[in-house]
Amino acid sequence: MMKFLFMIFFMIPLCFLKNMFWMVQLMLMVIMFLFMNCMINIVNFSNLSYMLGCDLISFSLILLSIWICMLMIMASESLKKNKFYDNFFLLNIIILLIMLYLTFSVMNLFLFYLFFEGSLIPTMLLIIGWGYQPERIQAGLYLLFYTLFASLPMLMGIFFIFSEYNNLIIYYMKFFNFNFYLLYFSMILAFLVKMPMYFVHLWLPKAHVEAPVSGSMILAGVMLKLGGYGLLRFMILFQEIGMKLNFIWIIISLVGSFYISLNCLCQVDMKSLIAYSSVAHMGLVICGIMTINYWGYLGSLIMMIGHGLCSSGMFCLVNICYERLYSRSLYINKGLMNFMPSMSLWWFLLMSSNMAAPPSLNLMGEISLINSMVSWSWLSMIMLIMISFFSAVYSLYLYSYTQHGNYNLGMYSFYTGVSREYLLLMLHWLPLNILILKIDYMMIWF
Amino acid sequence: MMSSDIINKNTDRIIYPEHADVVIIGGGFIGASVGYWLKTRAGEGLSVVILEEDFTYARIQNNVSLGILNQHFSLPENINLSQYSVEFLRNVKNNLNSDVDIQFCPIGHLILASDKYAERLEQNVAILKEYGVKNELLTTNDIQEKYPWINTVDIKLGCISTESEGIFNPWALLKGLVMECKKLGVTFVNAKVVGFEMEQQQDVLMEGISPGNFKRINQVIFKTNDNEEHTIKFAIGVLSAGDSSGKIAKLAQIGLGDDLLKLPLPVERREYNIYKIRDSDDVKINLHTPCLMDTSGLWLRRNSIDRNFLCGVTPLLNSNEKELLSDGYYADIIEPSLLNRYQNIKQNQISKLKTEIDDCNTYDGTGILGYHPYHTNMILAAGFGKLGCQHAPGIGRAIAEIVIDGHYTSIDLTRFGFDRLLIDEPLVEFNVY
Repeated sequence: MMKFLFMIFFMIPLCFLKNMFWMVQLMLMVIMFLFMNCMINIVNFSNLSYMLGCDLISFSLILLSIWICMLMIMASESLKKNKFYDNFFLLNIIILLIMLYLTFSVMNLFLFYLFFEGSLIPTMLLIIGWGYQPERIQAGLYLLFYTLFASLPMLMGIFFIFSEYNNLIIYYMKFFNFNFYLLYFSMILAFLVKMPMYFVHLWLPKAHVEAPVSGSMILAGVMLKLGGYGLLRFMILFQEIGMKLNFIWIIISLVGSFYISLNCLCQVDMKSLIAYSSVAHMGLVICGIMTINYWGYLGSLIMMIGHGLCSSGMFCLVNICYERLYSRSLYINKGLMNFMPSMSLWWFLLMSSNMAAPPSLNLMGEISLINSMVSWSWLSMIMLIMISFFSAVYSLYLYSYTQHGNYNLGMYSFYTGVSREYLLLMLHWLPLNILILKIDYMMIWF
Repeated sequence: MMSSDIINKNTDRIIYPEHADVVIIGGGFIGASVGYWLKTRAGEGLSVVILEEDFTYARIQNNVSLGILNQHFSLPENINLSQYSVEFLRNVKNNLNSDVDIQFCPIGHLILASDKYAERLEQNVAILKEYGVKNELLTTNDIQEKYPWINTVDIKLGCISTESEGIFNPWALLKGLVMECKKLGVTFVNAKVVGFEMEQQQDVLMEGISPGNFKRINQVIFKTNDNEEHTIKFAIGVLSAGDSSGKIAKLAQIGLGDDLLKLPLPVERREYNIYKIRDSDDVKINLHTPCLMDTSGLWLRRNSIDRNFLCGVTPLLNSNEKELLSDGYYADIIEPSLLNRYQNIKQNQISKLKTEIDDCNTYDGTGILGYHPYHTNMILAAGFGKLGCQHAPGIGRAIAEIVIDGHYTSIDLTRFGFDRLLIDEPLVEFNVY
């Protein structure tokens, strides 16, 4: 595990050499495949060294982060073409990857917190440095302060746990049990804001709209999953009190996801629509974890991986259209099938994955989550019906509005698309729809 | 009536927008109308920026000649546009804010035809009746009876419309449109366009262009008052800069390239004079005096509720820019026609009032509206001449329709497109006012 950390760390000087933009991306791909070959023990933590260790959740999420970071570089070729500080951009991505890698692989709660907060800094630099509009400053501040203030109580909580039990190893958390309400709320709040849950989700649409494509990809792809990962780890501590109080978060998330799905249908900015759809999906993930069901755990992990790939792919698609048409508004991006017919395939594949159509990972996640929710209480069926239905509605709405119908311009011309973009989208879609064939990798835990 | 600044200039730190969905170059009648319609239909869905180099509208301010509304056209599109303008102006307090005082006086527009064109006038009247325009033909006797101060010696037929034609206050319309734009959220930038930035697109396939050579307009470069250049990235640009449209089109390489870029935008500036005729006992201007269109191309209108006339000549396509301003032109052409037609006017009643600017489409005199065939993200809307003000609501709505709906849904203005220059089929409006 340390070896990968060092490998990523020593890619930093590589960022500053000339003409190394694609080399960095290639190296990340190499790291990805090397890391995949780590034989991990699914049930327990394996590959232990110093503070780092790996179990199934960490492993899948580290794979996701390396993959998304690699795709971020592939998506940002316009930065390289315009020479817009591409070295610093690469440096930013590498540091972000280091932070994420460490967040997912450390065995210590405090170090987890440290890198959890640390990953915010490169993200904010990415939004403020490479975003498009003057409003990005406000967006960056929202992102930073929402997540920072919410997670400060968690720091206090970690110190409390340390003072009680004198260690912070994640593996030992299953032997502990806390019954303090205050501790419960302060620890959980950080992750709920990060996920985000319905009432504290305001930062997400703002950040997504103002972020460049790479910022959106990493935000939707991995940063939201940090919240999910934290919840997966910390729920073990709070099982007893959770059984009493989790209904609050489940209800807020369920009803909130429904409202947000309705809100998606009113959006005119494509990125905003996808951002709200992220909130809706993550609402389901929160519910799954909060039920403290085996299926809920599984479903949330699978959903996180699936949603990370799918959302990131959709942001890439929006960026492809933005680079051509210079607008994200639905009034201008319509009838694109006439304009870029080959892209329609990718729009369809990713939109259908978004609405959890088979055979995507999202489907598997949603089935498991629905199972866990209904087994927790049959009343949740009402909201789940609505959420599933409307997620199909807004995915289809986005697809048919952008692709079908009357087109705006380009009467005599159309775009063929660039190979790099097709590769980018394929690399998003392939794991999404092919991993379903080996889903027992994630479904058989303990 | 003539205020110096209709948009308050906030000269503290201004943050110029770096990106907009629609950029409108030129914030005059057509530009403001496009902004108004886009925002009314799309609301927050489209961000609209208008680049206007003169917020005092000093060059439009003087356009008192534009406040004439008439429907007696030969092209059906023009007729429909006029009819829509009338509808818009009648409901102007609902459409724009309720402070707008448009002073629409439907006094009618009397068109005089000599022997040569009398038959044509009759045919035109028949066509107009099909479009629902209410007008009546007047014989020479009728004209002499109603308006004894007109010399009808060489006139065979006249035509006056009994509703929906008249004069209005164009300044109020412009102000109303601009204020409503600001209220709906259009950003106005005080700037002058100095160039366009083009980017080569590798993967565009276009008819007539070899692959990989397509250059797309990315950003518009504008210079603000402090001589600093800024750029705005946009998705759709609307070129409605009036008489500067030809020059700005050249900045976008329209006319300087080959194939589809070979033809320049033939919109040029023409200047003409407006003359004021004081009332006298012989002429007796009253509230019913209609606007007059003479056989010589001289138009006459009442100066709102003042007791004097304004008159002038519509610039022709093949005159040069300042030809109509010369004293020779006045002495040889304008004055004799004036004195011939209205024999009660003495020479000392005529005085020059203002010089006005007209954007003239030197190809065929009708406006150019629609996407440019090469620059598929630029909409051209120029060359309407004096009809620009009159038809502004209809034109603005048409442009909003092609942006939002993809095609014209209410009035079909496809024939006004740039394509007619490519296939060399001029679309001439016979009744030019």
